[in-house]
Amino acid sequence: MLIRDLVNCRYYRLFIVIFLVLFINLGILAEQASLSKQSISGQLLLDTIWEPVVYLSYIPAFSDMYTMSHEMIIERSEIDNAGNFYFNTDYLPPQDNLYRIHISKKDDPPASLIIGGKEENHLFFIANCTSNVLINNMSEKKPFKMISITGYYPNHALRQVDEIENYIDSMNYNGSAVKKEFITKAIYGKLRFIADTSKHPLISLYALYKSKFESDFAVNQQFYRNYIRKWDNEKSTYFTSFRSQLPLSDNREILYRFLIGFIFLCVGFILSIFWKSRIRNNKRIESLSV
Amino acid sequence: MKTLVKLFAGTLTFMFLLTNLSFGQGTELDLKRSISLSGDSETEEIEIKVEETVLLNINIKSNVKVGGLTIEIYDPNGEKQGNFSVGNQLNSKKSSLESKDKKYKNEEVSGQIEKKIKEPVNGNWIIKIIPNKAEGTVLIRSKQVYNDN
Repeated sequence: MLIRDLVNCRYYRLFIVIFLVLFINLGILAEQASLSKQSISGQLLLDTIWEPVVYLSYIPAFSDMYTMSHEMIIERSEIDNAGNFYFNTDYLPPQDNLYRIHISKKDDPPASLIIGGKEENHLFFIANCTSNVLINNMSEKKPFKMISITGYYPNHALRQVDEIENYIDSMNYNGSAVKKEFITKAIYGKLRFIADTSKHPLISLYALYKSKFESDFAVNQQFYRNYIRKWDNEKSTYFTSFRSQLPLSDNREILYRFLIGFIFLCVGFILSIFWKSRIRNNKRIESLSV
Repeated sequence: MKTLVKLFAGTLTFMFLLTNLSFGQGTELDLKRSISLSGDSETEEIEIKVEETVLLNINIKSNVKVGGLTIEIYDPNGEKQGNFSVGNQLNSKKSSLESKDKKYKNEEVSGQIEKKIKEPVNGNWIIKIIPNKAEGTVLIRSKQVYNDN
């Protein structure tokens, strides 16, 4: 009955068209979803001094960013003639972590790290098992100086933090040490502001690391106490490592020492009462005896 | 003819003087030091004295075959201005993701850092070399550019 009503309806052809359009769109969406499979991929234009191989390393803590060892390298990918590389990431942990890709010169071992200069050979980014990260460089001569990372959104904020920090070295201070100090302090203050306001825990902590917190802690302890309290639920290796670097255990140690001292005082007090009552009893017995 | 020769010589002399005066190049001081590590774990400090320098360029390259090595750069105020570590150890706990490429495990590891500091703080810049039973080499180069004006 319903079908007969539908067929006889003047809008029958319109319904068919709408149905077909929806069906085709669903098909296209499904195909796109399968094409944008989770991966870390991209194109790196390289000079002939570089091996056409890119290595992926897992960075478990921000203090390990500039550490290079073979055990950190978890995967390698050949770079084809067009500069394309690809890492499948479905085996990565589901939570966000920091990773690094690097390339090596033909004369250097695979595990080599170059920091600074036009031959800087590595890049950091955040990823997990479902993210899709696309990395493309724009210069063969400076493979990691002019680079874009798209796809997974936290990497945009990561690059912004890097740009703010790099401003310190790129400034001309015209001989004024005071001016340099003011500007440097302002930039570190801005990075602390990002750390304080960012909702992504890794971005927040990354900005704090870039703000040279080690030298700021002594003058700004309350900020760091509040920061630790704010991210108290974060149990990642990044926050565990960060907490261990901060000398915040002083108050707890003082509390423990006070408690131990108080316990010993109570025990001593109870023992003294017990001892006195024993002595009193002995005296009574002596006074009773003939 | 004589006038032409004089004019030519004068022009050449003028151009020669111009190239030596115009590009603002100051005096440069280059220092190079090479350190060989033979399995020791003793920290060594290299001092670079900086005074009225316009540009300080520090380049440190290290190759380690065995053990681990950490390099740290400190300015005269004691603030760390750069660092890297190479070798078998991580600063944090061992990662849960293991390397798939076991064949490279015992091969050499190299690290390099280049720092260019404009108008660096005056005083002694310290490069700390912290080996951990390391066998390898460390090459340190520093270049200071002074403004002759």
